[in-house]
Amino acid sequence: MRRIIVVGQPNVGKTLFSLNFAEFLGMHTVTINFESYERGCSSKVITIAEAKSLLVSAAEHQTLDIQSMVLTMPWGKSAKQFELIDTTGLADRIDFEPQIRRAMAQTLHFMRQADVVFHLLDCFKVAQLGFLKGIGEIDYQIAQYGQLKKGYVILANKIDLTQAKDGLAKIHMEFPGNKVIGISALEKKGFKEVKEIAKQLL
Amino acid sequence: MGREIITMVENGEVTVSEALSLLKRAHAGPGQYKHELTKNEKLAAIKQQLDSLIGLHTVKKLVNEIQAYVEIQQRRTAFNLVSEPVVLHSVFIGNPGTGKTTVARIIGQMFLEMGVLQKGHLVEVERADLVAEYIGQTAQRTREQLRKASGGILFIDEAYSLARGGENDFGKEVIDTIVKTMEDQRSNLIVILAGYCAPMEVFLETNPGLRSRFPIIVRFPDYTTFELFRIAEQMLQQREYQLSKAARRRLLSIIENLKREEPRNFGNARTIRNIIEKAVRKQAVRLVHLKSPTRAQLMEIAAEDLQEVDDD
Ligand SMILES: Nc1nc2c(ncn2[C@@H]2O[C@H](COP(=O)(O)OP(=O)(O)O)[C@@H](O)[C@H]2O)c(=O)[nH]1
Ligand SMILES: [Mg+2]
Repeated sequence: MRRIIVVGQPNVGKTLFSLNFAEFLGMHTVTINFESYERGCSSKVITIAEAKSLLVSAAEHQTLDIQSMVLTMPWGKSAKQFELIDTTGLADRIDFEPQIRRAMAQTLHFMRQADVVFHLLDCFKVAQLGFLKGIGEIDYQIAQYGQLKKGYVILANKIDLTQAKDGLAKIHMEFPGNKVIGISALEKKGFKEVKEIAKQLL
Repeated sequence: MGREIITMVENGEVTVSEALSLLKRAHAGPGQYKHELTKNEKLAAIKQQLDSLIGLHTVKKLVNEIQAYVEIQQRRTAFNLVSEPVVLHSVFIGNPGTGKTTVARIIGQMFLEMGVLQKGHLVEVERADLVAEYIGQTAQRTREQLRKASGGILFIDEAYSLARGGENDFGKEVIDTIVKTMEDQRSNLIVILAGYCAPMEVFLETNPGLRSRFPIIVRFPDYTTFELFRIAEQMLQQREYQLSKAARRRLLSIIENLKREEPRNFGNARTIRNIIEKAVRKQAVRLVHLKSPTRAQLMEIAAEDLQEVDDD
């Protein structure tokens, strides 16, 4: 099964995107495989609504485990399954907490195995802080690494917020030659285009 | 190879960015990707990182000079001109929290791009990581750290503590082991001795042999009041908080006070971090009783949230 990995800095909306994208593809429940370093693997079937309240958070590093879900996408007359992997946010500094460092290492591990990378950036943050601070060294490195993959797409998130347009434009400028799609994970904007791209790449 | 790189992230030896760049290299030789940045673009990005640090003007200038020097020596070599030997082992002098580690990390990246170092990662150690309890073990332990740092930078914090116990101290064994390795594998490793001002000066004076082996001395000045203020603002911005007008005034006066009361101990970003962390917690306590705080309220740090922090 092909794998799409969702990566980015903490709080850019990776988890909300993953869950809402699943919903957008017509799923009501998701089987979430928690792959945790400490507790090994476990899987759980929950409704997407439950998953959102459980996993989406304004606090950093809510997603400490890798959460993968198997999604089905309409494919002509039939359907195609692929795995969507939500990950721990990657940060530039070396974290003091071993647990967080491990989670980041695990993200890298999955990134190596993925076929397609969805790289989320936060338009609002970029608009507010400018690209110097809104886009981290880590994002440039992800972009570089992404070039090795079958597919690499930048999802510029949170375009529902005011000012975010400005951020989207800056992101386009910063990553020339890459596919950039403006989305709102919250309002499921831009998801159609994401779906089309996913179909092409998988 | 990839697995080792990921383990380095786990052990806190490299940042995720560094790891990604290493992973990419491991995957294929450089220059084979669609959008590979050229060496110059990468160097520019690294320098940009350095420039975006608040303050540190003299440090930035010196790093630029060193970079230019290394580059010209490399070019001279390419033309078969006599080139000066490039010795990059350095001494970083400055109070805690003045940016020494951050700058070391950036320098590692810089020399990686320039081909001076193979990995460019930073291994941060202090006395306890190097000195063992029994004779003979110290050299072994030191060599272990040197091996970890091979291809990158060995950053020895509070290096003066290696000269603590006089002639019989194992600290001397550490220094001897390091100096020996430095001479064996000239270009594969950079050693940085760091520490604060007075003890470092004494350390260097009492070990005159070190001067020539660590030819680069970088002095990290204490941050000015205004620089500290900007650092605080930057930290808050990164966490998506903002200071109210009154809070800005209060923060400035807190910083001024601390500087006046403890000019020696207070030149650093660490105290600022403590103040900010405390403020964020106090703001939370202040807001937790509100039924539905607004976005603006959630972002704002008020004057009352700020107080001087005793960092003992
Ligand atoms: N306005 C807005 N908020 C979003 C959007 N996507 C995520 N968020 C918010 O950003 C925060 C972090 O989201 P989360 O999915 O947990 O981020 P993660 O750390 O990248 O997994 C949460 O408070 C979300 O509600 C979006 O498209 N628009
Ligand atoms: Mg998450």
